[in-house]
Amino acid sequence: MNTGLRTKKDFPYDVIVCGAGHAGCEAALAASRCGADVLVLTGNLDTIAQMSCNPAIGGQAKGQMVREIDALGGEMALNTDQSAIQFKLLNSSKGPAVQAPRAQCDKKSYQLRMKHVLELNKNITLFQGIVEGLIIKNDKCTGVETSLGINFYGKSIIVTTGTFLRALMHVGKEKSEGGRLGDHVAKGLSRDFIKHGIELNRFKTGTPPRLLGRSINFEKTEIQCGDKKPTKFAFYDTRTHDEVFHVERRGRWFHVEHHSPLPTINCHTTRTTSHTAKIIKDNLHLSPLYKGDISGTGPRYCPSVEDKIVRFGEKDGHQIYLEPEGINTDEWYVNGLSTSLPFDVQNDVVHSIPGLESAIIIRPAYAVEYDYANPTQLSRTLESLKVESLFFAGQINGTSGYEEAASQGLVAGINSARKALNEPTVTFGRDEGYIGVLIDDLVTKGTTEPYRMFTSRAEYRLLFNHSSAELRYLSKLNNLSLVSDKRKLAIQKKSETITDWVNKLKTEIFKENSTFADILKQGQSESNLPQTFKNLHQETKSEILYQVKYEGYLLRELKSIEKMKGIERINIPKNFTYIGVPGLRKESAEKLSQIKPETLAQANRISGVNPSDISVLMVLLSKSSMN
Amino acid sequence: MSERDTIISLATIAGESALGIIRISGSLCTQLCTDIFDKISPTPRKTFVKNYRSLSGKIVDQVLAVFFEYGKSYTGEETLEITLHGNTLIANLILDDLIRRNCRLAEPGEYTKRAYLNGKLDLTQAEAVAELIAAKSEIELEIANHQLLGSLSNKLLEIQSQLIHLQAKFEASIDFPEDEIKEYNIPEILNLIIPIKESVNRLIKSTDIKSSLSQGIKISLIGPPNVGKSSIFNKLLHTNRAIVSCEPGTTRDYLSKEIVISGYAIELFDTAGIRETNLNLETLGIKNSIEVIKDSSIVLLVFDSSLPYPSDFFEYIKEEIKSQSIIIIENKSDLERVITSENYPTHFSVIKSSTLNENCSNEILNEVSRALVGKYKIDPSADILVSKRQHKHLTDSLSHINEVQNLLTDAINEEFILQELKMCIQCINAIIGQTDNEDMLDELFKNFCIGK
Repeated sequence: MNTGLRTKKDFPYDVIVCGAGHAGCEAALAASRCGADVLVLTGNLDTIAQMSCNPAIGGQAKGQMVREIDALGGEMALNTDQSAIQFKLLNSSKGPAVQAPRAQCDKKSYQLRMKHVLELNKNITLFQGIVEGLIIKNDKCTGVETSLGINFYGKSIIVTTGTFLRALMHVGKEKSEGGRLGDHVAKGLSRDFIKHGIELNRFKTGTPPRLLGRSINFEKTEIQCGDKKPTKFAFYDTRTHDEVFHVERRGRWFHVEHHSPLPTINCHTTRTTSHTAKIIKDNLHLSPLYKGDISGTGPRYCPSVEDKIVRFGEKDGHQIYLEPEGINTDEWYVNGLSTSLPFDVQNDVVHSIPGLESAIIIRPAYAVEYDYANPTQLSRTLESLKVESLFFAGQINGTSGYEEAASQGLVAGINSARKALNEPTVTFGRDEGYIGVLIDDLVTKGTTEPYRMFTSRAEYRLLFNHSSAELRYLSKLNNLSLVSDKRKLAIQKKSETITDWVNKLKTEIFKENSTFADILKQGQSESNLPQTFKNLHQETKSEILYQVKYEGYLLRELKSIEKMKGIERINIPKNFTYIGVPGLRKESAEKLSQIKPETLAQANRISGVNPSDISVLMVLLSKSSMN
Repeated sequence: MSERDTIISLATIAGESALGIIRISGSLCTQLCTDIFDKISPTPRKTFVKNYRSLSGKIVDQVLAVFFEYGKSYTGEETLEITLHGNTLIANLILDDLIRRNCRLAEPGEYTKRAYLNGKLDLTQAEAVAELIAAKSEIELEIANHQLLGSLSNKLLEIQSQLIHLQAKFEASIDFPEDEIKEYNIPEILNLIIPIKESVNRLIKSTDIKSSLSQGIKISLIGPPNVGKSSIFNKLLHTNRAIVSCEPGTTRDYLSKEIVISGYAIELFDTAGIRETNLNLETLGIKNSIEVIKDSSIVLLVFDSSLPYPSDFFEYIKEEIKSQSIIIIENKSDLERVITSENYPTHFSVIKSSTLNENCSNEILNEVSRALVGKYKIDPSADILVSKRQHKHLTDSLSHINEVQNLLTDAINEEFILQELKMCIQCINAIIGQTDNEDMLDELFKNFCIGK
């Protein structure tokens, strides 16, 4: 492999990744694992894998995604485990399918470790440079132009520019250009996208103020502790020690003892008061959101505090979480207080909250508006339908969240590399996990607000419990070089052990015509199970128990997957012409030509396309799919 | 969408005709020949006459059937064609029975589609097939829309939104565990479920052509003794030649006869007169009369108009008369009128009759027919397939919502309740069209302040 910086047109990189946020990092790593020679361009080397918003990874549906990323050889899980300062398993009182791990992280550790992972990778070249334009010929992307006038050439290009496209920040009536406080804005790219027929729309998002810890009176707040026994993100039972601590062992300056985790820091909660509500109501006219200065759509699940007060009133106040930004800083993140009100009003709002009476804001809250490209313009590999060899991942696709971005990065990374290396691309199904749901939702339905994953989006949620991620992707891993052969074998073995034990518990009689499965379903204690079972690894045991206890529910989901498989297998040719197909309604034909579904099942999920349209297509496509 | 299941449909126009044909296509056909006709390995393409025996063992009709083997039928699959007597009731009974035997009603144009997919039609015919499917769907859609225009569609939309509201409550507690969402409590949710169940139940009843038509609509003649019930009973039967059977009541205290009024199959009951001396409800005869009244859709309440209104009489049976339409017959109108109407129970109409008058039975029949049309508005011959499908989806949705109720009572986790609830929503969707997960999220964000 020939690495290093090069600008020759006739010696292109396999993959160029523009941006090194959560999407960019996973994209570069996945591409390199697939054997590609990768160049990563970032506007600022010091903000690689920056957690621009809250200092936590995981949470509902997102935690499951991080574990899927780990199952597919991604870095996010290991990086989180290594930089976490508090772990919490959400929904621990509910069933396994909806339990979700989450960790508060030391932001700097997270960034630095991820940066070092990239640096250590022999297939990756890192370079600081702002991408100003794309080199596109005959609707095919072959390289990028950077601000220093240097051009780089690549067989595949991945764009992961986050919120930086024509980004505009608002604090009250003050406006400034930039994708993040203190950062630059990417303007040239938007122009090139539009020139080549890629439509852009505007979204907005916001972030709360950051406070100085010593100015907070924590005695007036409530402590939120993490779990005593952490639920980690990475799978450790199928990896060797060296695979887990690859950076810590081989890194230049990582002297941390990898067995001793970072110190734990607690979070705190407090509430807004009626005084907070009054300040906000009195100053609502100064909020760019309510003045109409911001045209972009914001996320409903992450409203600004002014939205919350206007829509849900003051009642008994709204909860505010104080979360530490890291171990080497006294900066605190004020979760729940995202706003775009002017700075002096922000100050008053903060001071109206118990514990924050004399808190000092060290970073103001702001709202940011940015361009995104509606993801219905992509195929399931995340390649543009308009410009060949151009891939999109992360917030530019209209999503929000580190985990959503990282998942797309992984998918784009794998496929860009495989395209560059002339290997068949890989798609992720809705029946495999949240990553498949995410990609399918994005490219099939698009999104009208920043897209966040919810467990309710998955029709087979019960099968997507976080600890089954490795098992679900096993067959996929076998054809890819994302994880070591050793680990593949270990997962294979784990999977077999689970299947064997599930069968054993279902058939072996415990007493009086009752199998082990029967007594488990009746809610009897697991202490009755054989000693050989008890000796198994905890992850293996809990998966077996889940499959046995909830067999009926899980079977139902498997059955409905089977039902969908029929039309999931019918592929629609890329150049299929819908307009003029007899029997196909005009509205459906238009929608289908725009979204270009790749399978009949995907076409079926497009809103407004009805069953008779699908029947018509099935008839016309059956010939080609039979061949 | 599986291509392997066995599909059925009435190939002839629904309604009264000399003959009707039910077509069955799919791998179950051989098995059906054995199970229904006791015909093991039937000779292909050779007709046979047999009794159609339903799952419950009853003979439904004597039919002519013919079996086509795999590869040699229109669809290319095993096919069975059953020619039956052209009667809505019989066709319905057989279709129902086949559904219970794991067949399903065919989608519009599905036979032709299968024929094409199985290579029985060549590619040049494909476009024609596509057009056919579209056209048939249009017709079905039109029928469905026509039927859904009124209160039915409003009711279904309401049920759908109630279910989504319920779903959003559960989803919120799963997806936003730290957002101070007010935990739902089980009694509160159960209270939300009750009206949904009631609405679904009502709809099932209103679209329940099957049970009312297949079991016959029950109409009973009741009243005090000696008011002329039996004369009316006989009069009604004599004027109608469509007497199918005559069997005495099993306990010999009422008579029932089957007649057809305006195309509806009716079972007419003549109950024993309820006397004061045996008003003791423990008397077996009275008990049976009461049962008949309960099961009736229409009650013909007969009084002697030459006597005062027997106000205590209605008191004894009013508990049993809730949903039935009441037609009051003031009999013996040839005599001097003594009866007063101010204490009559709520009724559909009042008829004066005299069994001496030849026309009296016609008047009664007209009123009964009017009541029937009012009560069973859906015209069974117009949209039998659509409403049958709706009916199936509605009964399925009801069993899912019942299961939701059970799971809740057992305090099972939300994610499992949601599986059931989503299946219920899918049943309703199958009638009035898809909802998206976005609809649920809209509901969720409307009701809960999310964003910690």
